Amino acid sequence: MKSILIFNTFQQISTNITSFEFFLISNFVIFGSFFGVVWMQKNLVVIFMCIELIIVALAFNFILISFFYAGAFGLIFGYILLITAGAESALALSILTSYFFIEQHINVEFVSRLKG
Amino acid sequence: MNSFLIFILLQLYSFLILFVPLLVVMAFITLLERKVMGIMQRRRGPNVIGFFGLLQPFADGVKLLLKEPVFPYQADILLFIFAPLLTFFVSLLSWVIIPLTTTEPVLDLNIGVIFILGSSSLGVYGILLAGWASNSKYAFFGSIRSAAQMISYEVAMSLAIFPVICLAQSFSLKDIILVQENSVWFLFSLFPSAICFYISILAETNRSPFDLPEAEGELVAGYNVEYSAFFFAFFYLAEYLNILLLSTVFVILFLGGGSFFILKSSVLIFALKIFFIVYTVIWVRATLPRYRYDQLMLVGWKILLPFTTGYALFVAGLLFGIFKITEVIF
Repeated sequence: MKSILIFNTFQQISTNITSFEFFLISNFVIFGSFFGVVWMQKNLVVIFMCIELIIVALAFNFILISFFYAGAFGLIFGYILLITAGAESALALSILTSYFFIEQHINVEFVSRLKG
Repeated sequence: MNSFLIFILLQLYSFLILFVPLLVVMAFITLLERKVMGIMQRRRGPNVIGFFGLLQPFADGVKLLLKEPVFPYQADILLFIFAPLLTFFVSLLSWVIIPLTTTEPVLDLNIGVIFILGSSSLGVYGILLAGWASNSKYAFFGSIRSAAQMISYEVAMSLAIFPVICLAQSFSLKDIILVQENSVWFLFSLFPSAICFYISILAETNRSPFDLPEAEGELVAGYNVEYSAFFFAFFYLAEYLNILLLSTVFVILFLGGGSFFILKSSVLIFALKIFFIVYTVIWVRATLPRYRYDQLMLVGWKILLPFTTGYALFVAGLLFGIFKITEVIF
């Protein structure tokens, strides 16, 4: 297995890149999905997808920070965040489905049933 | 130029030496399933082609490759072709970090557990795309069921792995194996977690008793109704590769990799353990009847999730309170 060159080259590349580039990626995803929530106000499904992306990018950010400070608390926090994101997406989609079942639309402009 | 050619050839060799044996093993697992289920149902199974039907999977593969790929009316052709490729790619992705020899994994990631969970959750997208792109009600219902099932059981699966991480104090698969070699298998110390993880394996790979997506009576064959020829072959390959992968992960996390009590750890023992887990998955299929859909969701959300959450908190609290472990080394 030592002779597998391509993965070793991948490892060399990944060690050569400083963590700054990865922070740039995760922050770009966070900003982009926040912009998506603001921009795509009409479509509820897109808003849910953007929120999901924000959570995933945050988990990625936590993992990066844990590498940066050489501790594992960030890793565990990211792990739990990913689990929570899975449960949260299921919850949101089930609310969406039952709302569509009652009202026959998911147009954000006319969603008023959930107002208190 | 010559050295560059040698470099390219070595890279090609390094890919082939990992993935070709994997695909051959996968082909024989399909044969194993048919033979074992045949024996359990008192019939012969495939026994015509080759010695004891050993060439049957290759004959099936050739048949699938020679058939004509059919595209349904008004299907989204691009996504229709992309979905099986994505599913197949995702099922191959995780194999890179599996430490098949106990000393040297191919890519030594120290966040191996997170990588496996992330890449296995990507598999949902291939299934959703397949159902949506094929412009058929049956495929769409099958894909929705399958996606809901996979999302639900992923949560329980992640939480079932959490005590293992706490005890091994590492996210690296290699370290988890080494900890179990030096002490005791996590199957004994974390038995409830192992059971929950096993149930999640069955649900995650859409196997019986949770094979709701391909309920033949209601939906014809789930998300891959409209697929034929080698696009179907990709789905077929991906399904069995996922079973093999999750069985391997089970062996690594709970059965201690290649270690067997006092014996020296070896690849052979590792392979035998994986074979045993795959055999039990087939055994479960031949034995248990199918769940109803609401029962499936009830087991996932109301039984497995609270139990695994409580158990993870219990183990973490035990380590923190009694053994005063506060730092995770990685």
